[in-house]
Amino acid sequence: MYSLCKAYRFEIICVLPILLYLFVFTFLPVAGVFKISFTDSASGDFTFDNFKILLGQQEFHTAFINTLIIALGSLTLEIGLGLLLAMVLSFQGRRTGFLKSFFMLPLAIPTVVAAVIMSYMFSSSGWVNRILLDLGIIGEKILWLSGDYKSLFTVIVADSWKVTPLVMLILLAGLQSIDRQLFKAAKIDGAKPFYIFRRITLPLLMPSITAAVIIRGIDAFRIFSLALVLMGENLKVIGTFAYLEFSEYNNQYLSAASALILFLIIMTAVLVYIRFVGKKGLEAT
Amino acid sequence: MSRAKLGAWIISIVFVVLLLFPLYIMFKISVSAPHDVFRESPPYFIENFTWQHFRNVLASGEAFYAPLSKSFITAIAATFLSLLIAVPAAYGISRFDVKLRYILILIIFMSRMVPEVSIALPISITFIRMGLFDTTLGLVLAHLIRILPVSCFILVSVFGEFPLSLERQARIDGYSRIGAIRKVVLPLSLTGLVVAGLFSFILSWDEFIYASYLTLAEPTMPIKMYYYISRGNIFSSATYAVIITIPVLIITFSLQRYIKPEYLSGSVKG
Repeated sequence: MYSLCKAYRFEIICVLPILLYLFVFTFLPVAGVFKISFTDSASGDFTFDNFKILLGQQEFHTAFINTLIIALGSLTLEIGLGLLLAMVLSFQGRRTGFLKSFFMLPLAIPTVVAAVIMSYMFSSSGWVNRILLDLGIIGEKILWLSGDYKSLFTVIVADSWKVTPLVMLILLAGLQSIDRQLFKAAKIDGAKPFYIFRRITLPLLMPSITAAVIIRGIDAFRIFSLALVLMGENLKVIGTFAYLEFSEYNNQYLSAASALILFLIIMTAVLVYIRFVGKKGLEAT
Repeated sequence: MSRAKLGAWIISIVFVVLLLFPLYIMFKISVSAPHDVFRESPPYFIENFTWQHFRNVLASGEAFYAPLSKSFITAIAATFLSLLIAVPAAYGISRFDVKLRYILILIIFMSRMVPEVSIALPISITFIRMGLFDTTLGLVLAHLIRILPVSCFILVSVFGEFPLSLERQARIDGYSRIGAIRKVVLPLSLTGLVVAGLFSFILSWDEFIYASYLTLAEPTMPIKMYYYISRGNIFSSATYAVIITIPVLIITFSLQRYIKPEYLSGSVKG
């Protein structure tokens, strides 16, 4: 240990500031959230009450379920569409450079701006209703933002609009790093396209998919700006629940408890994914 | 053209239209006359073009310039501080042996797993106590939570690609360790530094969550836009949306050549 410190003395000094910063601005706040969520609002004593209150609250249950549905739904849609688009673009070969520029666009749109744009699209007099009406698909306006199951769908679509291009770019880079010779060899051996996809493309793409799933998955559970701007009080996810508890109802204890639950969900999800799908991609993370 | 190729083109064009249409709507609202937006079925094309909404926003004085300058100053300060911390950190990480490097990257990555709401709450409470609430400095410090992992990952990959032999040569020529970094490593990695800096800038510029926990009387641009959208002021919100987006758009596209997918995903090959 001592010799290690000596050999890397200069490097250690280099990384000290960031470690110090992470300690003060990530580790301590997390410890703080733990502390607040186990603190009694009146007496300041240690208590489990905040969690009991939360778990007994219909509103929190709904926010919890909403978060799970939105996270899993948007993740599935984004990975699915991202994979489709990446396959399509890599199939088109060299001309993708120009198409890729278009797919960069939503990446350059701040999330909160994307949320504002989506509110123009999905409001009752918005453009989604307008187009569906004009095409004759629906007879009357649909209330996308009212807070029921249609709103879950709306948030999933809105999130996918912003994020699918990112997933596509990660997967496209993965696809382009696969040796073309493999596909040629498989074709010569008479393999069908679907068989090639299942036996060659998918396994070799797995590290990229894992990277995309983990990184996107974390952000999907953390969903906040989009839900707050689009839905506000109508449809809460745990993130906005925690925020509104603090800023609107001035209850830092319930806010901390729900934020802590969100943190635990994310940790669990990442660990479960790594346990069942493998660590391969994490090494690339 | 084969049928498969045609299908591929159709799919990509459909998706490009789906991606572009909402952006077009944002721009359209910001330059449309009110009666083109509020009527029963608004036109698909911009009929009565007007700069009026932009003029209104620009004419609103402090209500516009205060958030603009707060966002700008915060972003500049955050960029500067993030480079100050991330450059040495990334250099150090890229020079450790594989195992230590992996552990450090994992620690930094772990910090991304924590939801912002669980960091923002205690910070907000502490800042209120320390008098940092609603200040630019407080916001800068909070924004670094979001920025540092990204700028650090970018720089680790920049320094990781830097040929060690060059650095060794500089040492042999009599430079000290710091001298070699200052005179050889940093100048030759300038592009990477600029990329990391610009990324830091936009990550602070469009940040929303910490800003909504930590500001009250002195909002940033995104908070101001949220204020307008929650009041149903569609023209001001669209105009703010355009104003916020333009710098991000310019920076992202000028960096297009340098953006590697692993930057976007906030990850790096260890």
